[in-house]
Amino acid sequence: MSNRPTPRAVLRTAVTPRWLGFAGLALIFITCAVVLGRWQWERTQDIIQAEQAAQSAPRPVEEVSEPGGTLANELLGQPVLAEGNYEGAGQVLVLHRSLNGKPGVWVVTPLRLTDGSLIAVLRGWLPDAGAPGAIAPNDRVAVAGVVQPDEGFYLEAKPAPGTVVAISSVELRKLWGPETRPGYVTLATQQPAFTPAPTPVPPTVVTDNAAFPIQNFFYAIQWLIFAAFAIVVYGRWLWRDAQEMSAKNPEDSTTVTPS
Amino acid sequence: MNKIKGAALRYRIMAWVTGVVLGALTIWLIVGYGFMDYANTDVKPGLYRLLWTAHGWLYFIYLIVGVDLAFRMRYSILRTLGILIAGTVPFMSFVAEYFVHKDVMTRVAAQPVDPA
Repeated sequence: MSNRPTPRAVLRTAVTPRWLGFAGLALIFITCAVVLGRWQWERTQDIIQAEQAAQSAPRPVEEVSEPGGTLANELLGQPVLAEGNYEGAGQVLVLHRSLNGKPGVWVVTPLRLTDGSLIAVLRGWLPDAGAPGAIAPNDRVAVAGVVQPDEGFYLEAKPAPGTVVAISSVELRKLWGPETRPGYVTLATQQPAFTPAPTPVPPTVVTDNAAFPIQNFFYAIQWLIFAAFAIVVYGRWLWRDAQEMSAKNPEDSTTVTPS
Repeated sequence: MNKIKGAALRYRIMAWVTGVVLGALTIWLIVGYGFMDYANTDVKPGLYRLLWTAHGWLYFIYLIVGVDLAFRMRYSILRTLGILIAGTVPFMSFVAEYFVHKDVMTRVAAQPVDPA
């Protein structure tokens, strides 16, 4: 079949209900692919920026975690400084947390910052709730650590008062009030230090020394390639249908090779 | 006909390659997240990540050879989409390949020998 369909024949095929339907499907797919591609691209950027943040100098926690807001993905693992007074009455224990294979709990204490807002500080690990160092004196301290995102699991769990199964500022806000900032700080060092004190734990989400997010980067490219594919398939198949239509109506076609 | 045979062979190879890689990765994912704590990213092996990245590009080649064969076989656009999407569903590329191969064989057998 060497007949070349005229532009009029291609257009006439394109506006048939069948081909308008395909055009609609193609547009929906292209939109989805572009949105997914952008999402993967943003993930790539977040991971690269989070790594830069993890290696940057500590910033005041007030700049990183804003009350009522959410923690920006590119700031996970950012080293922070937090100065204020512990409020031992609000302290919660995170159940079932092991350190180097030993079972225990994590101690999370609200820290009242100078502006009156609160940030959750993961002070560290203890073998059990009654271990020495569990109670935080309401002293003024300067905490250095890294900011961590809310833990998003076991949200439906209802443990005993004073205990939680995951660190979620949404849940802590119900206990501590609306001035609670999102996320939490994993304590690395504290001035002045308490003795005894819980053992500081490594951050759950480590963004330092992260590998280049090649998977997200390639997926971002591939979604755009898939969108381009939809256009190619639509065009090629439309062309063929128009060609077959032209074959039936010879005035719609120009013959390329002598027949 | 030779062109269709070539396209069918290319498609057959890619259907098997993407199918085997995706099938292995699916089993690996279930075992890894179900029994080996892959949610903790430290224990996720490099090869596992690498294979997912590789699968993305293998599927891209599958798309090219799939579109090429579907066009040569004059498949409808819906049938073409079915073949292309089959490559993303674990173990479905083998099913698609089975039917496409059968179809190609019937088509080749029905045609007189290509004089070219």
